Amino acid sequence: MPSFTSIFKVGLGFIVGLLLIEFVLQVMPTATGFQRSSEPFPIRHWKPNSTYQYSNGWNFRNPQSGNVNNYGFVNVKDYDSPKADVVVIGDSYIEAQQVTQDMTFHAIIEQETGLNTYSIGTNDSQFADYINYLRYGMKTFSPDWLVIKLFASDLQGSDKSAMPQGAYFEKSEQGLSIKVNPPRANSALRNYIKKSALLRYLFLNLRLPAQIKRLLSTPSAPPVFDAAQYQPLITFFDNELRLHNVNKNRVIFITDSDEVSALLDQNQYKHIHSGQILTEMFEKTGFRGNDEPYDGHWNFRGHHQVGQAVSALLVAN
Amino acid sequence: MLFNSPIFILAFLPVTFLVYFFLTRGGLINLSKVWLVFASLFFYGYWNPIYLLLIGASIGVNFTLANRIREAQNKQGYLYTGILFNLGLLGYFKYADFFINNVNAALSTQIPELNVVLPLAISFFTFQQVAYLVDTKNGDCKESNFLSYCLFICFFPQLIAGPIVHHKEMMPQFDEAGKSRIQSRNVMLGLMIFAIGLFKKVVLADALAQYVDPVFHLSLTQEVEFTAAWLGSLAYTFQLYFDFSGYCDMAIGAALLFNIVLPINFNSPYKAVNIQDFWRRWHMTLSRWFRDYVYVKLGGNRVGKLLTLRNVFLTAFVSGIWHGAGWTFVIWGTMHGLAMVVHRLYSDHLSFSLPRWLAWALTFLFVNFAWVVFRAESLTSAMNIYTGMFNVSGVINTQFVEFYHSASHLFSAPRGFESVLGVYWVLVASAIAFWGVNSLVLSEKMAASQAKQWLLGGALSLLFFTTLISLGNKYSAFIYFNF
Repeated sequence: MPSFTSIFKVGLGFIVGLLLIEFVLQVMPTATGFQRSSEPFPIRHWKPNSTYQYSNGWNFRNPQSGNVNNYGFVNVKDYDSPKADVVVIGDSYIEAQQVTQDMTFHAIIEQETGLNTYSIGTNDSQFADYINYLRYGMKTFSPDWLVIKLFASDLQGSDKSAMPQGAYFEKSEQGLSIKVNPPRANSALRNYIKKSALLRYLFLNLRLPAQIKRLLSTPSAPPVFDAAQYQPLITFFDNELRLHNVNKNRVIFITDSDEVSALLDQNQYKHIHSGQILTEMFEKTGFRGNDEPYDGHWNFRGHHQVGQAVSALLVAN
Repeated sequence: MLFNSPIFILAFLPVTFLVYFFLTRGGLINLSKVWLVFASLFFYGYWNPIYLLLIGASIGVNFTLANRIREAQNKQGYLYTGILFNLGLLGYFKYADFFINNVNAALSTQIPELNVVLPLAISFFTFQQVAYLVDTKNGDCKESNFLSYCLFICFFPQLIAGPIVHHKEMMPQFDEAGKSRIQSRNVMLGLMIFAIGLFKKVVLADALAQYVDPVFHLSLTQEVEFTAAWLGSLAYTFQLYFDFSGYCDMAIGAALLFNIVLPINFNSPYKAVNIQDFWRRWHMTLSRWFRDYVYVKLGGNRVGKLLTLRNVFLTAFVSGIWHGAGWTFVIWGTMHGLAMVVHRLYSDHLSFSLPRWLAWALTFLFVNFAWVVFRAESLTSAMNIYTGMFNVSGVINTQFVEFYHSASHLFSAPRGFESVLGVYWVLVASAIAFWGVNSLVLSEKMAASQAKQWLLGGALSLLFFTTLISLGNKYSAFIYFNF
């Protein structure tokens, strides 16, 4: 049997080894995630004037760092003017941690058109959140244009939200309504844990909880998109526009699927099909617009192409 | 089951280890061997249970033939039957479709392909059994216990991709006094070597793979630019190195936990100063097999000079074909065969020797060059990379940038190798391969050190961390599993 001293030394060596790994990860571009805000605010957002570090996977692919602006949204610029020409609404595609902040598609829109463009959105948002953001955006920035990211998954996941201040659709006898989760107090423990680069590495770079869940679950076929099922959500959105006196001609959607495109066509909304745009780019140049299979979000080429397509629509109108 | 998969590290290995020593501690030696055979077959069958029948049949036939060889007057006849059986099995599963394709191409026939799936490890357990039959005929294997024979073939650390061991160097170890107890020194060494191997595979080889695949994928349809061609080939050269070296370390480390010392299979081959030296360091047990059972049987260097050169060439050539069925492997084997011949002529007939650094550089460049055709999925693909490697004009427009802050440069990165991070990985990998300390030497030094417990703790933290990475990563199979 090994002696107590031996076990103690092995244990201590193990801890020293982990501390060394922690040190190395502190130096490396380990992802930090965003800092939660504890200040009262009507919609989901991050701690204003903070910074973040992004990298993907165990080997720190695509390291990027950036700022959260004065309103708590991930954007290279502060929102100093009370009036925006364009407000872009969405989720992680709008946060766009995967690209440098002056190469996001909303930055491209501003560069291409000269229009003052603001973005509102946090990751893990969906269509109900977007409507919540729209309400806030219209009230605060009175934009002339709305550009909204709307993928099939945004509609499919819009009836549930686990996020603090996350919005979701609720169906009742009175009809469809939007509910918003209460804000959650900022956890001191969470902030403390986030100081450890090793833990951040496990959770944010390796995404271990998701990986373990994937290992333990049996794969199932993706849900079939039934456009008719989501027509009430689009109708609800129409009403929201009317409430805020927004002409639907002033809305541009960015979608990724033929089904959502068809739904938007039926409802006479302008839209661009990012899936088609990226496929065409790949066929023409051989370059991908996303970082598959490591990250399905658009890369800088994808953002550039989408930004140009939206700009072209804005300029034409 | 893969050595780098969480199920192996977190479940299979600890359970097998604990049950094995629980049985040996109770004096149940035979039962402990049954357990190891059962666990090894589970390990093998986890990939595809149907091939348990194949390995079972192969073991049964070879064991029967070995016993006949021991007892019969006509040993030679049974030996040839055994060799024919093994080569027939290998030929059917590995080369049948390649043969049919070439017959169809040459004779314009329409013989349908068999679409045979290559069973895991067939090249390894077949060679190991051929060696056993030859050793039995030569009187080097006296034991005729079926359980021991099963364990000799199936022992999971060496089953899938070697090392290819002789019966006499592994099996007596299971019965040695003191080996039925957990030996802390072996556990320490085994864990250290296993952790280093896992790190090589998960962190180094898999990191390089992501820069190799796009280049070789691109080369299927078009010529690759100069920089991408060189970086892609270098990245593959180091990917293969760390993939196989990592596998060998993990096999040796896992076996050591059971107090079994497997032969060294990998000894810093990119430090070699000539092609013969390279083959003495790369996949050493396979080279030994070819030396003992092909080169020596052909006459070795005991025949005339011309025939010796023929033997040298044929040994390397057959080694090439052993790696896979395809013209790329034929050409790779031919390249190495010719290089061995040139080296033999040079060392026999020229009185001057190259400076050591130049000899090393030439050897490495040749090996790197030859790996291209080894990795390529077709001859066209290999030619597209070779052409790119010599197309110096392509270097002028190449830009090593991942992100340009100007839209006009969006499409200026070298196609197929657009991430500058790949260059860093190649540099790190080359530094370790050229100047790093061999993992076995490193582990021996650690185990002999005054601070060995501390170092074991450190190695365990590395093992823990790398296992987590493996868990969070899409782990990939070892390259040598394809052979």
